[in-house]
Amino acid sequence: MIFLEASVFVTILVGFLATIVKKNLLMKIVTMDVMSTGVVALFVVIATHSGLVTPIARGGAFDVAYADPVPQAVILTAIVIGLSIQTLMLVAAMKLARDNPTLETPEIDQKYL
Amino acid sequence: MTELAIAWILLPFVAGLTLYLLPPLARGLTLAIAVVSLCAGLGITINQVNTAFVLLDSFGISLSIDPLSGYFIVTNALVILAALFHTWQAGYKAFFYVLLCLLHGCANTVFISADFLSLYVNIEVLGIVVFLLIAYPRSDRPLWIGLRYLMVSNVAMLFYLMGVALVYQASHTFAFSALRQAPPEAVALILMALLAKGAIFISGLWLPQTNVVAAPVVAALLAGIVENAGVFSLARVSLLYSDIADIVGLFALASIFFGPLFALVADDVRRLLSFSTLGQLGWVIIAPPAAGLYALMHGLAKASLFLSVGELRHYRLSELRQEGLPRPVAIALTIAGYGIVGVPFLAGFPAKALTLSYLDPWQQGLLYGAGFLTATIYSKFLFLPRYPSKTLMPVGYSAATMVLLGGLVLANAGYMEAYSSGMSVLRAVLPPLVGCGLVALGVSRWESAWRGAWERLEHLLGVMLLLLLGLVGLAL
Repeated sequence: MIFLEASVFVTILVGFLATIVKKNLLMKIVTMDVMSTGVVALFVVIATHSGLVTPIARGGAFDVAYADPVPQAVILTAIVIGLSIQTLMLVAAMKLARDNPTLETPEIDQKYL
Repeated sequence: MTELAIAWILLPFVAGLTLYLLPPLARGLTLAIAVVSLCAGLGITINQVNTAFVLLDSFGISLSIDPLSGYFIVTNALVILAALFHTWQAGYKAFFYVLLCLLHGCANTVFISADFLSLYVNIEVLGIVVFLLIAYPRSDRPLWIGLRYLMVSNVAMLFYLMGVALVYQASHTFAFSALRQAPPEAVALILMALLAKGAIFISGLWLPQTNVVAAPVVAALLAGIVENAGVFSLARVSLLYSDIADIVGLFALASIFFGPLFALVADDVRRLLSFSTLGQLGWVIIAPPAAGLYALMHGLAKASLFLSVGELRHYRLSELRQEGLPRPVAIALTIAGYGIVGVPFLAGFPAKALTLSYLDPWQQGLLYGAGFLTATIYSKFLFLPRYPSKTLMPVGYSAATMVLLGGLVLANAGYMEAYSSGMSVLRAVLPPLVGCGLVALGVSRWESAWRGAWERLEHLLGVMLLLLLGLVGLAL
């Protein structure tokens, strides 16, 4: 379990550092998605602290260790928001690519800042 | 009461979605929701309403309405009203008004939410709407600046979400009050994200260029609503915890000096205004109990400044010094500028008096010193040559300025006690006089076209990491 949690934090950190290090705009957008996947995974890991059984009512046994449904339910919102932001950014990158075919962020920054 | 509040929250969203189907209603519906919110905000502020509702079970999803939110809601309504009047005849498509409605709704919800989760959702949606507003002209430059904003804001909010996960892990609720049980890393993550969204100190460096590239009316919305939404949550959290208030106060103080110093040497009027915004946002959060009145004053004055600057043909101070300004614009710039400086009879004076009354003597001294800096910046407008404008100002611009400057005068009622001592009135007049003197002596010639490398995307993101490390240190 501790190993799982550690790898989640590593994913977030790697994703974040890559948004800084990668120069290509598309790569930046993808690495941001890696970071957001890490955050989603963090919520899922936190949900399993109370147990691993899917919290769906079924006949019979109630004394099993259910996973906490709240973080999972909540993270759905963040997934949807993340998806829409990704899409918007990709569309914007597509439009920018017409005049900046390389999509290198330092060049674009120099041009438009 | 709960049903009424929920209906009022939903109203702008329903209006926004209706506009997709019925575009001819665009301006009328936007006007209606702004007026409804103005009435609601005034009602909350004047009657000192103070209620809280829990919406869902024990997970802390709750709303809390108090006079602090009232002030922010009034600001939101007035700025939307001004933006609406300004664009009334400008031929914006219905889509623009859809965005205005959604912006209004999200900001209102931010101002009354009392848990980390609804705050997250609303701030994220606000970010998307702001991106669409900035990129509305759809040319490359606004698109890139919008993209940069969206990226910075989304990365900040991912860190925020991490903090929220840690808060939930510690206490199984999302309420603001659960931050006490949370580990210091969670506090650092959440504070870092809010500082970046609220444009405080170096994490706010995305702001200047965004304001320069955005259309004047969008810059006014940014200054009047969007940054207020970021700052509001900082004020809310600092009101709950005195140790967090100390950390936030430190950043606020840094921002108060950092912003104006760069505004002093900016060569572009819009950059001057946005760097001054960095400083003013620091003023808003340094004394959380006074945040409402200060944010109201700053939102109105800064929105009116950006709209006025939008009427100019040149933005460089050196060109303005040769060409001059049309007289009505110059008058609006002077009134709004001195409103921020804190001249009596404009809301800046009571707002500053109220803010100072909550602070320690050493902070009062520092802030009074910073007041001279602000006064010097805005005195520059007084020394620009003016010419009588041959054509009339657009009606939309005049109406918007009336709304904003009228609000600036009426907001004096927020803290009438400020006028009771003659000494403080006298002290408030000193900074503008010294500012004028300094500008007359030639301070305004120190300006450069320098654009710091720190405003590039990589640096904006990198600063977050540094800030995070610093905050973890402070929180521990």
